[in-house]
Amino acid sequence: MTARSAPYSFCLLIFAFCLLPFCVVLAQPIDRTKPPETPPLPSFKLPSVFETTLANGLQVVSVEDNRFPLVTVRLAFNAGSKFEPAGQPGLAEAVAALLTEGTKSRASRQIAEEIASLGGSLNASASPDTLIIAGNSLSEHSARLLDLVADIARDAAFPAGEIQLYQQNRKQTLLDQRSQSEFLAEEKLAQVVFGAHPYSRLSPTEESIGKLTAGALAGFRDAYLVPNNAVLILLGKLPPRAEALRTLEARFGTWARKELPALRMPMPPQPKRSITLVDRPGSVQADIHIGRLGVTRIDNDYFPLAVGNTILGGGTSSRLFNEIREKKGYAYSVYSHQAPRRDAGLFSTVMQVRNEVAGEAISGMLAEMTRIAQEPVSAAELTDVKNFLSGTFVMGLERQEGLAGQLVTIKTMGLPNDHLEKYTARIRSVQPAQILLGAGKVVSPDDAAVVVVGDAKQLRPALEKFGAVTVVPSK
Amino acid sequence: MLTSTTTTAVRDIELTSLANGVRVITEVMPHVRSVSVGIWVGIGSRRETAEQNGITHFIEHMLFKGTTSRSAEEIARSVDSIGGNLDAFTAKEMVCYNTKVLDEHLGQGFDVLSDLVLHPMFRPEDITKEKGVILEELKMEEDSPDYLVHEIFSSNFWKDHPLGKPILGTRDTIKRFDREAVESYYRDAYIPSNTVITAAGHLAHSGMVELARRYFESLPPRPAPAADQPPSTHARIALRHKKALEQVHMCLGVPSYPLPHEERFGCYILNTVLGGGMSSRLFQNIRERQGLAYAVFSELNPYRDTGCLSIYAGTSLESARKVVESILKEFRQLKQELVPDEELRRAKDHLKGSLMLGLESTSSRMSNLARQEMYFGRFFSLDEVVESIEAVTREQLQRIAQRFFDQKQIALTVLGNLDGFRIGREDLVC
Repeated sequence: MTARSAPYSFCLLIFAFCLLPFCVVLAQPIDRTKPPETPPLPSFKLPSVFETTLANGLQVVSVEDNRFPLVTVRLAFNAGSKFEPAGQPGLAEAVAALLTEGTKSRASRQIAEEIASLGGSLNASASPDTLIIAGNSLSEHSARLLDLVADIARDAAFPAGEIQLYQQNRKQTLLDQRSQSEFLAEEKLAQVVFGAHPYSRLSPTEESIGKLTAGALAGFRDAYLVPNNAVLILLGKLPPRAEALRTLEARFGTWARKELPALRMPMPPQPKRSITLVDRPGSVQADIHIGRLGVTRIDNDYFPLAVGNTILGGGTSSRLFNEIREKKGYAYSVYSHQAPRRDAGLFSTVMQVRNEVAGEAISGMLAEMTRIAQEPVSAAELTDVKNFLSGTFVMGLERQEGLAGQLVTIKTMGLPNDHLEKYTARIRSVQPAQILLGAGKVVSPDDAAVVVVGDAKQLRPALEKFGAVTVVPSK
Repeated sequence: MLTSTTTTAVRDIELTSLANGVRVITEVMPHVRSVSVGIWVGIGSRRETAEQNGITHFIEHMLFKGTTSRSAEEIARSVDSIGGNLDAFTAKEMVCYNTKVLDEHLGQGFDVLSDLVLHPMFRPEDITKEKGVILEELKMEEDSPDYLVHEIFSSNFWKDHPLGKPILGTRDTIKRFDREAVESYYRDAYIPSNTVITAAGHLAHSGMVELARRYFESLPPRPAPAADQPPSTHARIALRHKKALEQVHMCLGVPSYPLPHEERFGCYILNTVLGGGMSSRLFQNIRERQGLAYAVFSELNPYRDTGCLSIYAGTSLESARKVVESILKEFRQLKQELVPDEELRRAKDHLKGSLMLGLESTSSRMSNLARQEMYFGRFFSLDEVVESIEAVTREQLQRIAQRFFDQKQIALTVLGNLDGFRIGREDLVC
């Protein structure tokens, strides 16, 4: 439910399609005297998939989808921010941002203009685990798109002028981020939950931005952006397979394999209760994040927690939404969130409330976190959420972007190849006892970190009811 | 039963008008499993009086608070339980309630959607509670400089017209809403002649019409309200000092064509060339070449009878004046020199590509159907739109630039810690 000014995107051109065979849709008023039934299991059948590995170790996954004249490309590396050297936070995102800002054969402007003329997009971004180059275009330009992807992945030049410009702009966007309470809360929560593990770093510092050099950027690129550390996802209306393979071999085949650096990541600390108040004088709202160490995608508790998280705070029928927003009217936005990563996850609950009700709102949130960890969920809640997750999952795969995202997750998070086909069945198999078990480990608030960003003078007394409060400045 | 049906030859679109004026439009996409369906009310926040400012958005929220047969929780769970999404938004000229479900659940999804639109309760206790929620939403938005600079700009650009007022309303207006005001506005706005139902995806037109008839046919017809007065635009310069901000946010705009204008494709291309992407002139010259702004882009905000072409830039106090000068330099160049052929070709390809990328989404198509109906009363084929894009000429772009970029018409809002920053009309020569 949102307010939007309405810049009319005149978009959407449509091809003429054949008429659909008649299918009847009739309204069936809902009988609320019976528990909700589980509708037919939405199944997903992946279109024709081809997988291969080039001699240099580059994994290739191609999926034929001829419904639209479009192609989508993802080149994903295990090269996220967790691989940055100590003292260089923000290096991975800087490498990603500067890949499209000039190569040995193309200037930054040329790259931007070529992408525009393809009628598509091309960008790169870094997350804690991965660095991903993402592009799409009309299918008639797929070879040119792949040429650009290969060029920026292999031959980014990191020109001095572009680095300087990036530093200048990133310092400005960092200021902008740090002016937002949500960012400050996420940053502090990550520091508390992950401790010495690099997942605790969400952004660069002004100092680390200033220290960026072409050598450091190229060093990271040369160490991690190598074919044996990457997977290339190609989907859409593709050329015949032999032709596509020739194109891939020509663009990526001569890319040299390289041994990856051996790294040992420190373990995140054991969860324990703490209350941190990030002082932001003058704030009229308290931004509240409560969280603790979560699970990875391959953890046995992942699916039970996916269901439990949705029941707790996954949408407008969730417990948190109903208790905190609908019944109490404390917050506009309230939700829970599960962020699984390769080494460890983060589970958190989030809300923004007016200062006067911060204490009561936190009590309400903690109570719901306790309830999901101690009382079995009802059959009706369980059925509804299973249906919700199954239906939205299948619909999310209708578009190339959604399918490409899932394929990247499978390959970078170590999921089995049949993940997409099995997803809804695994969601459907979750039992209340499994949710209790998972939530007891991850959601139960006794060992959760509480982070509040707001005006310390106004908020501290309310927070002290929950334990000792550590106040830190926001800058 | 009086209904009329029109089928378009070039897209698989069908329109049926119910006897009371409700229009039902569908587009079949046989290669997907979902259906997106929306109930559109053709009256947005621009129809509010000053006292009513925010009530359109408030009613949008209230419709989710419960109906005569469902509680708020049941509304949400009814759609979750069939694996669907339920959402709504309020804009200046329309409100939309929509759901996206798997094809076999269209009937159940539409049952919920039509129930919340047709049978709201407007309980006083819910109204009181929802005021609190929206005031929290307002606080969140006001904390965002991007939101604030655009709101200040709009309120000046369309001064004294509801189009310039915030969709969310203000603290004062929201606090005054009561059941009588809400019900009265709802009764006047939510009428068949203002209602368009659109659906796109794996469905059959006849089935959708059957559903629409079941829920909407019994509504008594009422004449559509007369169009409101077109707003006039105001070229005001507003400098808003906010000490806590570390950066300067600016919005500079000029009047542009209304949405249905015959030269709209020229506007789209001009906007693309000027600031519509990473290869645009503003991005390349201000951000990339001079490094003056960390964000800069242009956007079109066209409405039924007016429009605005605006540029947003996020910069530092030291660079703010140079950013304005550089934007004006781009205006001058577009007025004085023809856009090179290669650049025009690129802008056309970029625009066509962006359009094609929207093909996959049932919700994009569902929205497109409603907007085409509301603004044009007809549907455009792929070939027609591509032809219109291809027909844009360099001379046309220059002519539009000469019309739009006029020193006397430029409005400017600058927000930030503006210690010592001054700028006047005389600095806006272009």
